[in-house]
Parts: sequence; structure tokens; C-alpha cells
Amino acid sequence: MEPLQSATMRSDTRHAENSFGRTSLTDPVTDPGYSVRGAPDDSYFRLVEDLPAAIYTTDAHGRVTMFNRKAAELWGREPEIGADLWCGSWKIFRSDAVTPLPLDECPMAVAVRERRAIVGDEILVERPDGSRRNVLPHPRPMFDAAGAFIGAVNMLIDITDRRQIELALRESDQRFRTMFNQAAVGICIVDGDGRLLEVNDRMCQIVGRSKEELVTMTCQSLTHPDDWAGNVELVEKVHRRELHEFSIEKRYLRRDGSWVWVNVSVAPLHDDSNRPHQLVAIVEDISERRSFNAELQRQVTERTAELEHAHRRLRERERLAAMGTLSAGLGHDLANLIMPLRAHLDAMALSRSQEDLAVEIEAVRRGLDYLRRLSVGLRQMAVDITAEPNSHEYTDLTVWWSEAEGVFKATLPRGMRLNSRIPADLPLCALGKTQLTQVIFNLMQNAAEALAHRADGQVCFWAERDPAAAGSIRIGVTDNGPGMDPEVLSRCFEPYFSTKGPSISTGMGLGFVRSVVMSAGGTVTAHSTIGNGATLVITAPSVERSEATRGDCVRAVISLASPRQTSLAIAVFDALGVTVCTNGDGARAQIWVAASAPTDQVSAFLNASASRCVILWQDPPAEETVSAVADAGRIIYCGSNPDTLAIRSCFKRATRLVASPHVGKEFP
Amino acid sequence: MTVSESLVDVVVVDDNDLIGHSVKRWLSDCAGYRFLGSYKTAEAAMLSFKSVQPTVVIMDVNIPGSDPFKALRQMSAHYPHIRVVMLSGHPESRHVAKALDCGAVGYIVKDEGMPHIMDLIRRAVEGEVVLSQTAKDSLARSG
Repeated sequence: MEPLQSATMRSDTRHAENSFGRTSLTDPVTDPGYSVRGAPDDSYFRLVEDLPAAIYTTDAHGRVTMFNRKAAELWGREPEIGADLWCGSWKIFRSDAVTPLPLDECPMAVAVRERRAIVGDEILVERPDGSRRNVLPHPRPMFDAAGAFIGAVNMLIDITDRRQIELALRESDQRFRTMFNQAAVGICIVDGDGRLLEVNDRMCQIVGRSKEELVTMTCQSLTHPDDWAGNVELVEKVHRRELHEFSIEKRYLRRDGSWVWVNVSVAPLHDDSNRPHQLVAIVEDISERRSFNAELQRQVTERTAELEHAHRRLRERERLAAMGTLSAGLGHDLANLIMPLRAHLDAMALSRSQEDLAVEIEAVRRGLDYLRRLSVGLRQMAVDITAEPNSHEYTDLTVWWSEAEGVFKATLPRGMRLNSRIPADLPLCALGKTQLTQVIFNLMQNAAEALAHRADGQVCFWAERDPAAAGSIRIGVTDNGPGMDPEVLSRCFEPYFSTKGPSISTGMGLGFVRSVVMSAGGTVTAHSTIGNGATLVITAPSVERSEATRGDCVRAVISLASPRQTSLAIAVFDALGVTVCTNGDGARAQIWVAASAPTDQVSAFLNASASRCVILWQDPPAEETVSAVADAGRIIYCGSNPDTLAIRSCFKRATRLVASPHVGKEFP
Repeated sequence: MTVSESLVDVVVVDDNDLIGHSVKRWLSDCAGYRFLGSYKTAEAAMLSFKSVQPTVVIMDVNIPGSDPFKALRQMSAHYPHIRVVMLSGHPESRHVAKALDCGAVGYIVKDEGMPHIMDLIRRAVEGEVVLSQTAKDSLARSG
């Protein structure tokens, strides 16, 4: 290494004249008059002074002969002109930032010694305060006009900021790579055409494929065909910027041909012009979750089925128990009926006078009437209890009791008395006949069981107007049994609660009663004290007979082409209690049944004062035809070739529409 | 001449002989009606149609070994002028509806007295679609 040059060397005028000459030194930061050190004071040197890059020169021995402001800033010090060798920095390192670089091996020293330009050797300069700068030196040898080597000039490019950005980017990229590769979810980057550009390890695991294979595939080739359409639609929305991101559950094709359920969350990656050009997809394997859900669903379905089955068995048991009671009582009643019938027939055979014969015939007729009532009552019992109750059915309790009484008597133990108290002017009850029979049968059975050991057992069926509410009726079953204590009374409607033990009762009887009554808009209550029997009271909506028979006033006019269709329509309307108009009173019809009709005729009918709705024996017309009619909601279409079910359904809708108070208000 | 003024020929299809006997007995007192015969199956009845075709067939819904609805469709297709009235102990609406859909012109539940049954048959012969009260109730109650 060359020794440091003395101060006399710095004032070497030859070098000063050939390079920059000036030697004045001031503070590079604070002195506004600071300028190129060692340089002649002219415009050329001021230009160098103002350059944004650090520039300095040395003589042929490597001694610093000139430096500008940027150079001093870069080094963090001012070298002594003519004394400092190779550069103004005291400490430099190789680009690895660890290995010290001796000053006499720095790029400027090499350029001076070897008299050639050095390019691209990055170094680190450490300032006196310890801070470091990344520098790219560009030393070049200088020669005079005669070609003699007179020194070197070095431009130092401070690339510290660039290096820091690069480092930050590298660190960021590294962090992303780490996250990308080690993520617990699959990640893939997809281009605008759906090609997979990059995938991580987890993604490979999920679909059982290598990265090399995956980057040759597209999203479509990976996705189940049934899931693709929905996927494409969402992606297009993202590209159109209608959607910022989305998630979708779909199936991916694994290498082994199986399908794996995944949840894919997709978000766009934007290019420089902020347009979405790629997509990043986070892929989560949800097979387990789905199979867990499916298993859960299966278990719920299984348990529900088991519960329903158990419930059904309970109901069946309840019904079987009822049928057993019924059969026993009925067998006895029928035997009692057959015997007198045969006796009367025998008497008829022996009758000598017409009067005697008439008496016997009347007796047989009465027996048969009783048999018929038994048959009707039994049928009411036999109807499926799960069937939907007819919400429009009202029951005349007097008529119903005459049919059902025989069955109830047959089910009560021998010797037990059955009384009834039904006023003649009672309104009609909103419970259908079948529901009423089943409900009262249950209550009677409870009463009979309570009276099992009583010789003077009595059950009374009674009904009355509800004194507390108009439009309501109270129906009760009262027994003179032992009664219920307060605890039993409070729990008697609970499902499965029974005081009779599981071998006798399912505990569902009163629960069933309550559900049937409630579905008809009624309530059921129990009243009892120990030793004073029990009364179960049903409160149900009722209608006065005059109101209930209003349906008789509903009139329909039928104009169908086919005689059979007309006959069928008349029969169904008749069953629903609707009167079919003859030609004379057709103008008073509320319902018009037509094969098909022009829009203006339909409108005219609907606008007539008495009319309520039209049943058209045709398929629904086009939308514009419907919209042409003012009140299209009152047009019912039967279809062009309806079966009985379709006809009944349409006619029931029509009768409901006619009975609707809403329609009545609209068309007074 | 109206239908009611001409002779109405009646065939009964029911496995219970008592029904055939009852109808025969009752028709013997009804002017204008002629009892052609009683058959235990619809197929046997249809065989007889080759020689004499009745005006009306009174048929049970539940005939062991025979599908009355299938027979009903065949009768409606091959002998559309024969009016078939179902006479059944089954009041369920599904039977009523199916019978009407298969071409029956009436459904009478067997809880009616003979005078009323004969009145319904007369109306069916005259062109009405007839339902006994129990059949009507069943149809009105069902969905």
C-alpha cells in the first residue's frame, strides 16, 4: 500500500491545473458558498459541483485532487486534497456488507494502478458516524493531450435507496413465498383465461397433483362440470367489476379421479392500470365438513324417522286400543240388533193381518236405521286422523250425535250410562264431523276408564252457547268419576303423561284432542276436583245456522260444451252445496263455469254485482290476456281436460272465494 | 221418446249375490226396467255384452280377483253408450274420484235405501252424473 501523501502533494499545481485546482475547504452542508473542492472557479466546475452524483478525482498516485458536494455527503467527511488516497472514505466493504475492502484495493485504486475503467463493482462505504451507503463506483483513468496518465476520475452512484427498496421487496416477496408455500389452505393464481399460473403445496395436496401438472391445467378442467356454470358467472362479474370478490363451494377433480369438495374464495389482482388481470383463489378442503354435515343430516333424518315411527306406533296403539274397545262393544250391539231383527222377520212370516205386518216392518226399519247410524259413526272413526281437517266444515251437533251416539254407547263398559244435553237452537260447530267424533271418542274413553270400577258410572255429553263469547260454542264431556288432583289436572294435556300406566295408555289421548281442537281454532280445558268427577270442555268457533246455510245461496251457472263435463261439474258443485242455476236465474250466479270465454265476457261477468269468480275449462292463457282482465285473481283455470281432483280443487277455491268476506266487501 | 220412456236394461256386477237379488227383486216392481243378469266379475259381465248390451251397469268397487276400474275404462272405451254406476261400500273420496275419472256416471255408497238408489240410477240413465249423499260428503271433505 502506498503511504498517505503529504500536504505538499495536495497543492501540486500541475495536477490542479489539469484537474480542478481549487483547494478551499468549507463545510459541505452549512456553507452556502461551498463548491467543488480543489477545482478552478469557473462555470464548468460549478456544473460538476451541482451534479446529483458524487464525483472526485485523484492524481496519478491516487491522491484526491478534487471532490464535489455529493461526494463529501456520501463519505460523510471531506478528504484532505492531495493527502487522502483513493477516495474520501476511511472504511469500505465489499458488496456483501461484511468483508472489509482495503482502500488500496478499492475500484479507484485498481483503476489508477491498472489505468483502466472499472465497472459494476458495488461497494459499501461506511461514514465516520457508522452509517453505510451502497455505492456503485465508476472510476476511469485520465490522460493528458499527449496521452500521459495523469490520474483518475470516479463517479460514485449512491444506490442505497434502491438497495433498500430491493431489500424490502425481496423481504416482502420472501414473506409472501413463505406464506404461499406454507399456508394451511390451497392458494392459486389464475390468469384471465382461467389458466393456473402458480399453486402452493397445499393446493397440490388438496387435488392430489404436482405443481408441474397443475400449471398446465385450467380452472375448468379442474372443476366439476355441474359446478362450472355458477363459477364462470361469478368470475365474469369480477372481471366486469360488478363483484369485488366471491366464495363458492364446488368440486375439484383429483388425480385419482375422485371429487373433493372445496370452498374457493376468489379476489382479483390488478395490473398497473388497475384492471383485474389475474385472480387469486384461496382453496379450502371442506370434504370433511360436508361429510360431517351430511352425516349430521343423515342422523337427524334417521332420528326424525325413528321419532315419527315411534309416534306413529303410539298413535296406532292408541287406535288399536280404541278399536279393541269399539269391536267388543260393537259385537255386543250388533248381536243385540240381529236377534230382534230376526225375531221381527219371523213375526212377519207369521203375520196374519196387514196391520201386524206394518208394525213388524216398521220395527225392522228402525233396526236398520240404527245399523246405518252405527255404520256412519264407524266411518267417522275410521278416517285417517292425519288427514287435514276441512276448515270449512261446520257440524250440526244434533245430527252428528244421532249418528255417533251408537258408536259411543258401544265403546262404554256395560252398565255405564250415557246421557246427552244438546239444545235444539245450538249454532253449528266449526269442528268437522270426523274430528268431532275422534275428539269426543277420546274424552269418552278417558271418562270410561275413570269410571271403570263404578256401578253407577255416568258420562254426559253436553253442548251450549259460550256465555263468555259470541260466535263460540262449548262442548263438554262430564263424568262422575273420582276426579283429578291439582297436579294431574295441571299436567293432563302433556304428551305421554298418563295416570293409567304404559300398558293401558300411551298418554297421547288428550294431547291429540288438544291439537285437533286447536287446529280448528278452539281450546280445550279440564276442570276437576277430587271426588267430584271431571269435565273436559272444548270451546270452538261456531256459526249460526242462518249464516252457515248461506252457502246454499251460492249459485253457479255452467256453460260447458260436453254434456258429461257439465254433468260432472253439476255433481261436484252439488257435493259442495252450490246450486247450479237454470237459464232463468243465471243472472244471479256468483260463479260462472265456462269452457273458454272471450276476455270481454269474463270482465263483464266479474263486474256484475252478484258475481264473484269464473272457472274457465281451459289451460291458463297468455300473460297479456290475464292482465287485460281487471280482477284476474278471480279467474280459476281448470285445465282443458281436468280430472276429478283438478275439478274439485278449482270448485273448492271458487266456493272459498265466494264465501270470502274480503270479496264481499269489494263487491257489495 | 225419452230414455225414461224406453226399457232400461240393468246388469249388476257384484260378488255378493244378495245385491243382485235385491236389485232384481226391486226392479220387478219398477215399470220400464228389465234385469238382465248379475255377474260376479266385470270380465264375465263384458262377455255377456256381446249378445245383449245393457243400458246401465251397476258395479261394485271391490270385487275379488277383478279390477273394476280397469273394467270401467274398458267399458267406457268399448261401450260408451252403457252408463256405469258404481255401487260400493267404500265411501272414500279416492274411490269416488277414480270411478268418475275412469268413466262412471255415478257413485252410490251402499248405505242408501233401495228407493233412493233406484232414483239415482234413473237420473244417471237420463244423463246426470249422480252421487249418493255419503259420496258427496266424502268428495266435499277431501282435498
